[in-house]
Amino acid sequence: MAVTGLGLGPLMDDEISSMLANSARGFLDANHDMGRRVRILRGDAAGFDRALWQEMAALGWLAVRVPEDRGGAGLEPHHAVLLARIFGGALLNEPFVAAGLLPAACLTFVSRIGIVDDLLAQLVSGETVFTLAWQEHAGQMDLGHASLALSQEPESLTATGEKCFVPFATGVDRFLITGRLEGEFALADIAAESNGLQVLPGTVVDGAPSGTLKLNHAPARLLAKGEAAAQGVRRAGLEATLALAAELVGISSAALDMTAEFMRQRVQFGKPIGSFQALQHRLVDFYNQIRLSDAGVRAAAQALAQNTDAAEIAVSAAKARAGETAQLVTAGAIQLHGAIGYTDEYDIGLYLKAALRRMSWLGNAKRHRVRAMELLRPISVDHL
Amino acid sequence: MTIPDRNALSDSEFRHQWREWLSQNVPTELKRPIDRLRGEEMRRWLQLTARDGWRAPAWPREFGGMGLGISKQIIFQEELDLSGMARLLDIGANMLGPVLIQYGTVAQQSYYLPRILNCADLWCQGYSEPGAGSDLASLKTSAKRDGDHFVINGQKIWTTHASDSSHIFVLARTNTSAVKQAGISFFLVDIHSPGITVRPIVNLAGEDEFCEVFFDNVRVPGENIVGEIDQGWAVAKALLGVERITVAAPILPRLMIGYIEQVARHFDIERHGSYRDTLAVLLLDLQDITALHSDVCVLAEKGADVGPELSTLKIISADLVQRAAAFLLDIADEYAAEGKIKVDGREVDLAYLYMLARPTSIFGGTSEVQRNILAKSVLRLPAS
Repeated sequence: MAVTGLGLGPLMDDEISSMLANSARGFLDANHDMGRRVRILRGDAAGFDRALWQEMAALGWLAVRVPEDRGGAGLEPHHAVLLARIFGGALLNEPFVAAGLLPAACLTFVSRIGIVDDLLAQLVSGETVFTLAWQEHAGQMDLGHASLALSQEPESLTATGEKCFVPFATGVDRFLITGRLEGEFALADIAAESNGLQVLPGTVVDGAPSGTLKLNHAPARLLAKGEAAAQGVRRAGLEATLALAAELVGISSAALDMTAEFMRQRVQFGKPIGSFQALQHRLVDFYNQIRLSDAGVRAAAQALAQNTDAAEIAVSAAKARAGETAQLVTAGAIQLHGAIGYTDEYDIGLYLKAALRRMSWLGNAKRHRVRAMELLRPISVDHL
Repeated sequence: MTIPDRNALSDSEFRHQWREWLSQNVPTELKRPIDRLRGEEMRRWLQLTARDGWRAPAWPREFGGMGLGISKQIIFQEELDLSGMARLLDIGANMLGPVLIQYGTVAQQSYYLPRILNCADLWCQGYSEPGAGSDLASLKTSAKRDGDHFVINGQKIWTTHASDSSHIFVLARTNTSAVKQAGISFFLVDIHSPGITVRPIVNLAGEDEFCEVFFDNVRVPGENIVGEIDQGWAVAKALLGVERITVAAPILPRLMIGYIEQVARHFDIERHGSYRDTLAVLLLDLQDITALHSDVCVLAEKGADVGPELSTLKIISADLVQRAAAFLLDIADEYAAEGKIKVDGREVDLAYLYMLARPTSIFGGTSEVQRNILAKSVLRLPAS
């Protein structure tokens, strides 16, 4: 039972939110034995279960932000946020953001040509699993910028270059890949099993797969190009970044609940340790930061829905706060558990590792604060 | 005069009309946002608002208030802040009025409420005592029945603006045999009654805003008890109701950050990376606290108990204003100790601003007491 008041908040008490929350919780209860699944899938090449992914697709969750006239559910940003928060708190292995929201939003926002709609249909049905390969160096923040070379060769378009930090790279069927074609930004589609594409496997801190793509004249299909395509991918990045922030709030909140429960039970010096004021105040400080993160995420969802200029600032602010809070809370939770918290066998450590992955992906707290500041106070900076 | 029903206006029309009125009526000499009005200056301002029906936004119209819903109360406060007006501590309208409307007799309502509205009476709050600060329920000031009067003896302290007030509402013990919360009654007292002595106390900011109030055989008619005898604790707690929500907006942090930016321009450090990094943290904190405040307003409008959220807001706003004040001194180098500097021809009193931040974590329940409340009410941790 969550004590943190992060269930359905003021902006999320509409009927759709309640239905989504109920079905998500039902799905998790039936299919996701958290501690067991997280441990079994550590280091697994796919990192998730295809059958469950199909089920999530059937429930419409992969299409939550895809407009109705393109075969989606046409729901609002705060609905995606709600799902992300619940999945995050449950440490669900299935890549809701990396293979669901982000590639679906890319396809939704870049173009409406037939081939894009076909891919979108394959994605939301769960048959084909996609992820976006956009990043070319650490610390990159602009999803609408790429230097990977796309060139029109006699047979087909080909891609040459490298993409790094590609989430679930060894678990997906196809990559949406960003690059430059004839001097312009472009988005292309490429099969995971392509000649000229090598996927170097890796594993991140919580056991999820991540990889580097090396492309050498790998055949690709052009989906969109030009400034509008770049803007579409940037916009998709905002949606995904916000959802990651929401997952982090879910993780923080779940770690807080588990720690509060531990503090009620654990007896030392003849009393539950939760009765000690020094420990109570630490936990309250965690709670306050979670409450703030939650408010920031809600505000960003609203700004994104209204497409205001402030949306980018709000999303960066939300990701920065949620990441920093998750680190504060999940690492602090281990301290409050004591030695048992430092064992791999006990679940509290899983939250810290899950948080670390999401904190660093799509811009860490420091990068997002700098980004927000560039937008809030746009003047050139002296680096001392 | 009939008060126009401004609650019937759309939010944007309401905002427009109030902004218009403020632009025409706020006197130049009151545009000193960091200051807090008191005494005659406050009276003149409130009478001006009353003349045009802009008084007591939260009171129902049948009692002479504006009858605004919460969203309009928020707009009311936002526009007041934006106008650059000095701050107000309108205890009569914000604190006592709602209590009389809920608990007062018809006679009390019909006598006192109009006198609050037209500022014939200015009220202060007699709660804390030398031996009863955070532990308010242990208060010792006594009220003994003598015929149809009560005789009050004891001492109140930290009574803000007592020396400018005509009346004081007082918590006093009417029953010493009951558990400590149960024997307290809530009295309305004319501060000029024989036996009352008010002694101002100079605080670290150099102001004499708060006072000691001594009661030496002060006779108060029994009809001046609000609510039932011995049941004053419930009445006092009602002060922590909805009317406190609008004043929980992070006004002081926003003003403090405004000073930081002025002073940074003055010292020409606004392009420094290290300055911007810290400012970014403060600005994003302010943004999220503002978002949380607006969430709380929405929750309250739906009738939720937002007591815990107000504790969270109080802790984090106080923390932010104190960090901002410390940063203000940081960027001023040696001028931090000099105290006053001239910025754009106007004096900025750094020492005063820093001192102004100190009591925010003390008055109205210290940050530590707020944490105790949250540990119990939200985190359900065992009593210490």
